[in-house]
Amino acid sequence: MSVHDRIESLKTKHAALETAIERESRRPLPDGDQLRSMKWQKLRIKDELTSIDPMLRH
Amino acid sequence: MILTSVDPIKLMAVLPQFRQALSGSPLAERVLMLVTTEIPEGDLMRLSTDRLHHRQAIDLCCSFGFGILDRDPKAWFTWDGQNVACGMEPSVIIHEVAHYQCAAPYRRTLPDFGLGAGPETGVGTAAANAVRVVTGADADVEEGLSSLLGILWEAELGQPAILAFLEQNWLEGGVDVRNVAHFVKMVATLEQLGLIDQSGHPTRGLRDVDDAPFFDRYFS
Repeated sequence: MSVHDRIESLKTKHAALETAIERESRRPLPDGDQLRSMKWQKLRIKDELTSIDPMLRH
Repeated sequence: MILTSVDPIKLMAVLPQFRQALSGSPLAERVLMLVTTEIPEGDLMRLSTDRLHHRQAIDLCCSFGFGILDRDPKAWFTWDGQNVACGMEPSVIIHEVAHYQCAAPYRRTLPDFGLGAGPETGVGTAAANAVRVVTGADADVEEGLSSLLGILWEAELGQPAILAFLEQNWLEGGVDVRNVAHFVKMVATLEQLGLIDQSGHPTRGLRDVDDAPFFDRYFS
């Protein structure tokens, strides 16, 4: 996989997690454990993205 | 709080590697240097119960305007919104100062800062949990920031900060890229909040950002 493909793949996962977090947060009784896990996953993906391309930090 | 002693041989092995992994993040390197300035002998690798350290911790609390309760937090709260129960190790008392600085303004007057009952809180547990407003990953972040800031306050006071650094698992993940990234981000966040200066020393600042924008940005 090229660097470009890797970045695109990570961006897709990041966006999917963001959507899932928003959806879960809006539920009347959000699953706290799932939310916690998804937030940390999303952060790790962001870390990986910025380690590949520091321009994506902000 | 009685803690397991730390294997100093393991520590000496991982520290240089961790330092090396931080190269490229000067502020994080500087913070690690401050934390590791004083490393006690192997058989002293337990949180300090030194009376001078305890006095220094209380003085620090007073300098932030805390009321001081001369009691065990098991018989009360650790932080009741105005007072700290000081029947704890110096490191744990100092940790409360860091929590005060890291909490959103409206939570500084809530028992245990609205994070739910802390591990030292006793009879106040139900009341502290009833006003818990920060949970999950957000609470993880605030605990991490408070941990590191408290450790830096210990270093600032000349206390053996490395012990809390180890006890609070900062090196547990070793030089794993995620562990290093977590440390670097925590340091950067403390600096962005104005809670440490550009040399890594703790300031007397207080977080002024509310919870939603702060945690949204952290996990963006």
